[in-house]
Amino acid sequence: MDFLLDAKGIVKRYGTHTALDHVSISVPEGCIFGLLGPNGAGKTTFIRIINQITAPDEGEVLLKGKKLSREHIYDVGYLPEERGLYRNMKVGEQAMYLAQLKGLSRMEASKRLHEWFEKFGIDSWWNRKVAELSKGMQQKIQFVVTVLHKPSLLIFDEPFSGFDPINAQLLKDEILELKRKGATIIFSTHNMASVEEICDEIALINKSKKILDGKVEDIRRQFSDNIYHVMLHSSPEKMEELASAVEVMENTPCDAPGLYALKVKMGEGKGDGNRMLETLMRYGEVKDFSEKLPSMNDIFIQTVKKAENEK
Amino acid sequence: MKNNTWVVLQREYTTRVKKKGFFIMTILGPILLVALMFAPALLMQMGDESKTYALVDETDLYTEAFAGAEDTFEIVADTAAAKAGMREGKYAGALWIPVAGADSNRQRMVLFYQETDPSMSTIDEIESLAENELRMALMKRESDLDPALFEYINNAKVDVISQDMVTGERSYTEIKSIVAYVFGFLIYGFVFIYGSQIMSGVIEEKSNRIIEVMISSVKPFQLLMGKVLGLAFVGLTQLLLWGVLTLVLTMVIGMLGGGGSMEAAQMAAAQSSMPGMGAAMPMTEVQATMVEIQAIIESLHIKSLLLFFLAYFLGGYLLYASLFAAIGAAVEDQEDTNQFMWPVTIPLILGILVVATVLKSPDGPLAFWTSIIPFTSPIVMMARIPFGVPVWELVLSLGLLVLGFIGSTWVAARIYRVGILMYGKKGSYKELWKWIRYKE
Repeated sequence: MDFLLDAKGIVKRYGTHTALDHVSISVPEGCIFGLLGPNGAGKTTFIRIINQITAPDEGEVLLKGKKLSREHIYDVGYLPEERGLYRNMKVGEQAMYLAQLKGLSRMEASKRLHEWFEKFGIDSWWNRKVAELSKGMQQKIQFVVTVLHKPSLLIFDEPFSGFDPINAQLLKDEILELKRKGATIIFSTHNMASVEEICDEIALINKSKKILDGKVEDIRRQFSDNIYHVMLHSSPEKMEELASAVEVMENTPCDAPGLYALKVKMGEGKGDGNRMLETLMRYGEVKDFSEKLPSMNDIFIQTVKKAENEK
Repeated sequence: MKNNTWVVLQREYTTRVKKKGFFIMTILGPILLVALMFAPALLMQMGDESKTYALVDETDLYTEAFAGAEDTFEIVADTAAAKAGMREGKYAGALWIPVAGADSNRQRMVLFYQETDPSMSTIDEIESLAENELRMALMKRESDLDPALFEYINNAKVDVISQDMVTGERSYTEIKSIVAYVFGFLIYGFVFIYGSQIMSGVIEEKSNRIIEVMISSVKPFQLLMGKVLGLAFVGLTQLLLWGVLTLVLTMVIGMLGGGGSMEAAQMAAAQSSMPGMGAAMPMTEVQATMVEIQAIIESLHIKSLLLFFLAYFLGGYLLYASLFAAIGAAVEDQEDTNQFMWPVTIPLILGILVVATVLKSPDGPLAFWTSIIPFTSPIVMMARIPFGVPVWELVLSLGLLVLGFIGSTWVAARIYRVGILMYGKKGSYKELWKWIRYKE
C-alpha cells in the first residue's frame, strides 16, 4: 500500500518529559486520517514534527517515500488549532504574504486568492483590516491560505472550532472536495461525530503512545459487542420466550399491534449476526435488522480508560 | 527555493514604513534637529522682554553705567519711591546701591523684586556693567592711568585654538563634543526604539497565535532574521531621510542667509553663536560664517565619521535587536518583559552615561574599555571618534562588535525558537537557560 506519510518509531522528549514514545503512523494517500487523543496526548507534537517545526529525537518521517526535508514545506498545508492573523494588516496583503511564504509567486498567489475569495463570497474584504472581521470570517481566510498552494498533505487541527453550523458545513464540504481532488488530509479533533462522518482511518494517541489505529469501519466492527437493532413482529408470549434465548436490552412497543422495536445482545461467544437472525426468526417475523456499531466516542472513551487502567 | 527571510523582511519593512508613526517621525526628526541648532540663538534674540527697573543709586557712581543695558533703569530718589513704583506696577524691580562700602573695591547691590525672580542674565548684566564702572571709578581714584589705556587693558582677552601639528587643521573641540554626543545618542535611541519595536512585534505574533502558521512555512531563524534585517532597513531609511531633509532645511536657511534678509542674518548669527565660534558676528560676516562652517565640516572628516556611524549603528543594532526579539519570545505580554529588560537596558544606559566622561577625557581608561567591549562600544566609540582614535582600537572594537552580534544572535535565536511556541509557561532565567541548551 502506498503511504503518503509514513512516520516510523517517532520519539520526542522535552527534558525529562516524553511527548511521543515510539509512535508509528502511516497515512495512505488520498484518505482523511483522524488523529485522535485526549488533550496533552502528543498530537500537536506529532503535527509539529510533520511540519518540521520541531525534529524528532528518534525515528524518521517519510513523505511520498522521501525523508522529510525543507522542500516538503511547500507540499504541506497546516491549519493549527491556535490560529491567528496579523490584526493590523489588510486581508489581501495578509493572504498574499502567507501565500508567498508557501512558495507562490505574487501573480499566482493573487490569481488563486481572488478565485477562492469569490468562491467564499469574501472578495469585498480584500482591503479591510483583519481586526474588523469576525472570528468566523478570519477562519475562512485561514482556511483559504492553508489550501492555496495545493499541498498534497493537509493538516487540520480542530478545524471546526469557532465555526457556526452553516460555515462548518461549508468547511466540511470543502474538505471532502479536497479529498476528491486527491489531497491527503490529517484531521485532528475531539469531535467524534465528525470523525465518523468524514474520516477513513484513525490513530488514537494517549499519553504519548499510539494505542489504536486502523480503518474507521474496521475499528467499529472490532469493537462491536454484538448488539442489534431489530423490528420484530411477534406476540407477547413469544416475546417472553425470546427473552430467555437472547439478552433483550430495550423493548419499545410500537403503535402497530404486535410490532416490537428491540435492542438485543448476543451472549459472549455465541456467534455472529447470522446466528442472531436465525434465533430471532424463530420468535417472529423480522421486519428490520441492523447491527449497532459502537460510536467512535464510545470507542475513544473505552480505549483511553482501558489504557489508564493498565498503567 | 525562494528565500523566505526575504519575504518576511519585505513585510516587516513595508508595514512599518507605511505606518503613520514612521512618517511623523521622519518629518519631525529633522525639524527638531534644525530647531535644536537654532533655538538657543532664537530664544536669546527673543529673550525675556526688557523690563523697567527703578535705580536708587546712593553713591552717584553708577548713573551712567546702565544706559546701554537691555533693561531700562530709571533713576529714582529713594527706595521708598522705588517700592511705591513697584507696587503700582511701574517697575518690575528696584536696584538699590547703598553708599556703604563704596570706598572698598567691593560694591554690594540689592535687587528687589516683587513677583518674579530676576533672571540670571539680568543679574549677570548688572554685575558686569557695574563691575566695569566700579573698576573705572577705582582706577580714576587710585591711579593716574589714562582711562583710554585702562579700557584697552581691561578688554584684553585670550583665545585658545587647537591645531593639528601635521595638517595644520584647526580642531573645533566644542563642536566635536556636540557631534560626539549627538552620534552616541542617535545610536542609543535607535537601538532602543527599533529593538522595542522588534520585541512588540514578536509578542504580537505570539499572542495573536499567528506564529504557529508562520513557523510551518519559515524556520524560526529565518523569521528572526527577516524581522531584524527588515527593521534595520527601516532604520536606515529613516536615517537617510533625516539626513536628506536636514540637509535641505539647512540649505534653504543658508540660501536665505545669502539673500541678506534680516531674519536670515539672524539665523546665520545664530549658527555662529554655537560654542567654539565666538560671539555673534555682524550681519556682514554671513559669508565668513559659511566659510567657517565649511572648515568645521572638513575638520570633522564627515565622510569617515558617517561611515563609522553606519558601522556602529548596524553593529550595535544587530547586537541588541535579536536579544529584544528573544525577550519578546520569552514572555506572553508586554507587562512581563520587565524582568528580562535590565540586562539589555543597563549596558545601553551605561554607554550613554559614559559618553559624558568621554567628552572630558576621550582617551581615559573608562572611555577605552567601554569603547572596546561590544555592549557599550557602539555608543561610546561613536562619541570618541570625532576626537580621533588609533586605528588598532577601531579594528579591535569593530571586530569584537561583529563577534558580539554573532554571539548574541546565536543565543537569542535559540531562546526565540523555543519561546515562540511556549504558552502558559512563564519564562525565568533558569527556563531560558534550558531553552538555549535544547536540541533542534
